[in-house]
Amino acid sequence: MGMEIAFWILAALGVGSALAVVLNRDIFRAALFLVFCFFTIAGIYITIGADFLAGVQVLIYVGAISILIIFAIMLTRQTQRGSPSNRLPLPALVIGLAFLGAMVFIVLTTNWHVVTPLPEAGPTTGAIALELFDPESGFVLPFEIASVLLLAAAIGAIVLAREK
Amino acid sequence: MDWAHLGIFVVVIIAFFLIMAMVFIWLERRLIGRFQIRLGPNRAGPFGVLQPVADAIKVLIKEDIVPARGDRWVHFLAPIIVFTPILMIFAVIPFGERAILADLNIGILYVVAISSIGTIGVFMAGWGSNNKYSLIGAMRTVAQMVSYEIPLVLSTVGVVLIAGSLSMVSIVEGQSIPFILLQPLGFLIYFLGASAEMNRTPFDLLEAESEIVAGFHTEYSGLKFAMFYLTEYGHALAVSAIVTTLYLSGWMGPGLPAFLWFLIKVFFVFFLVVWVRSTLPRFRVDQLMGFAWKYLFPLALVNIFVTAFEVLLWPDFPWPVIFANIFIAGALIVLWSRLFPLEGGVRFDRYGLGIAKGLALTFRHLFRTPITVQYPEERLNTSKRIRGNELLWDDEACNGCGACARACPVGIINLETRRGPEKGLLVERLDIDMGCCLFCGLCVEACPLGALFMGRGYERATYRRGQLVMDKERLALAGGEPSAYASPQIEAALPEQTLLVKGEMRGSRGHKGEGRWGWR
Repeated sequence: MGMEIAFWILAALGVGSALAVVLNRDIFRAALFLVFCFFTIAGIYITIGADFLAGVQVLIYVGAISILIIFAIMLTRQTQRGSPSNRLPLPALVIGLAFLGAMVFIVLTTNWHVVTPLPEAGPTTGAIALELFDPESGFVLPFEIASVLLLAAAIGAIVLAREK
Repeated sequence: MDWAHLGIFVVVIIAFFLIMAMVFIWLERRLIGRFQIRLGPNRAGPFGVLQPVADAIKVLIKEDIVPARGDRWVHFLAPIIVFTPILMIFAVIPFGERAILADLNIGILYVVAISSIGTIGVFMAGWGSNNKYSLIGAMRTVAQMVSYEIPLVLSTVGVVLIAGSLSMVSIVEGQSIPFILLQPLGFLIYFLGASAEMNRTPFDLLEAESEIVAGFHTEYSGLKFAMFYLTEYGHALAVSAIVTTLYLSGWMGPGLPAFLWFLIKVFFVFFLVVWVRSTLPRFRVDQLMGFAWKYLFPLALVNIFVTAFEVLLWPDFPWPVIFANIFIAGALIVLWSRLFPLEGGVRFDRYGLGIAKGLALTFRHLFRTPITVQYPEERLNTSKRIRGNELLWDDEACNGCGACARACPVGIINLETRRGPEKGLLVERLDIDMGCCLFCGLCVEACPLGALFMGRGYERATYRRGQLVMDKERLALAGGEPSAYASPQIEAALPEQTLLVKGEMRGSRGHKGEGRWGWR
C-alpha cells in the first residue's frame, strides 16, 4: 500500500517534471527539471525493489549525464534568451504525435507478464551479477566487447579533438 | 525496525551531524591555529569552544541577499540541494555493531551516487547568482568533481573486491585486518580524491579566495551561506566516517565501546585532512586536472588489477601480502611520478620530499608552546632594534640644524627656529605629519646629534588625520622608548627585552619567558 502511494506520487512528479522540461523556456531550468525527472525514475526503481538499478540510475544519470548536459548549456551562447522556438512546428507536431501513438500502441498491445502478489523484494546486486557474468549462461563476452567498444569511442574522440 | 524506532534514529543522526559539524568547525580552526602559528578562536568560552555557537547566531540574524538579476528559485534551492545529500550519506554509516539506519545491500554504491548530486547544487549556486566569480567557481567545480569522482570510485572497488560485498556492515565485518594495510594505495587515492571532492586545500580551486572571491557562494549570505558552511564541515565528517568504515575497520577495536572507537577514528581522519590542508599550497588548474587523470586514475586502475589477482590467488589474505602491498604501492607511486612529469616539468618525485618536509614542519608546530596575547589587555613588547612607526625627539640634544627636514624625501618635517639668547638656535615649532611619513628613517640617520629617534611604540592610530601631525610636545622623548635603530650607542643602555608590557604570561604550558619568544 505504502509503495503504491509512493509510486503514484513519484509517477506524477516524474511526468510533471518531464512536461516542465519541454515547456520551460529557460534552458537551465529545463535541465534541472530533467535531473529531477531522472531522480523520480530512480525512486520508481526503488518501489519495485530494484535497489542496484536505482543506485546506478542516480550515479549515471543524475551524477554524470546531467553534468554533461549542464556543461553543454554552459558552452551554448545566448542561454539567457531562453530556448528559441522551432521554425517547423507542424512537422514537429506530426512526428511527436506519431511517436506518442507508437508508444501507446506498444504499451497496450504488449502481453505483460503480471505477477500477483508482488514477490518479496530482496537484494538484487548478486542476482544481476550472476545474470551478467555466469560462466554458463552469462554475457561476459558481450559485456567485455561493449566496454572495449566504449574505450575505442573514447580514444577516437580524443584523437579527433586533439590539436594537430 | 518500526516507524517510531526509525524516527528516533533519524533525529539522533541529525543531532549528531549538527553537533559534530560544530565541533569540526571549532577543531579545524584551533588545529590550523596550531599548525600555521596563528591564533584561532580563543575568546568565546574556554579555548574558544563557544565560537561556532556565536558564529551560528551571527549568521542567523544576517540579511538574506538575493542578486537582483539572478535566478531566484535556483539561488534559493542550491544550498538545500548541496546540503541534503550530505545528510543522506549518514543513513548507511555503521556507528556501532547494529547502530545503522539502513544496512542497504548497495551501501557504498549508494554513498557514491548520493554524493554526486551535490555537484548540481554547487553549479546551481554559481548559475543562479548571476555573478562571474560564482560562475567561474561553478565551472571549476564541475571539472574538478567529474575528474576526481572517477579515481575515487575506482579506489573503493578494491575494498569491495576484498570484502566481497557493497554493504557497509559487511565491509566493516570483513576487516579483521584493517583494509588500509591491504589497500595502502587505494587508501591514498581515496583520501586525495575525497579531499578534492570536499574542496580542501590543495584542491580548493572552486572557492579560491585569492582568485575568485569565494567561488560559487560569493553571492550568498545569512542562513543560505550558513548551509554551505555547514555542508562543508558535514562533508568532512561524512568523508571521515566513510574512510573510517572502508579502510580503518569502522567501529571495531579492542577494549573501548564500539561508538567510541568509531569517533576516535573519525577524529583521526579529520586530523589528517586538516594537517594536509594547513600544509600544502593550492594547485594550479592544469596541475589539478593532470594530477587526477595522469596519476590517480591510472594508479586506481592498476590497484584494481593487483587486488583482483590477490583475491584470486590468496582469498584469505595471509599477512605477507600486507608488506607486498605496501611495497607495490610505494613502487607504483615512485614509478608513475618519474614517468609522467606535469606541464612545466613538475615531477612529484622531486616534490615528494618537500611535501614530507612541509608536513613534518607543520606537525612540529603542534608541540610549540603557544603564546596568546589578549591584545588590548596585554601588549607585545617590541624588539630593541625595531624600525618602528613613530618618531621621538629629544628636546635637550636638538640644536635646530634642520638636517632632518632637509633629509626628508616627502618634506613633512616642518622646523621653525629662532635665535636664542646665547649662541645657537631654539626650536620654535617642530611638526611632523605622520600621516604622510614613509618611515624611511632618513631623518634619524641625518641627525648629527642623535636627537631624533625611532620609537618602539606601535599604537599611534587616531580617528582624525589632523591628529597624526605630531607637534613638539607630542614628539618629546618622554612619550616613549627610543629604539636602537640607527643608534647603536643606545642599544646597550636599553633594558633586556621582556615579552609583555602588561599582564602575565598566558602560555598554556607554563612558558618560562626565556629565549626567543614563541619557541620552546
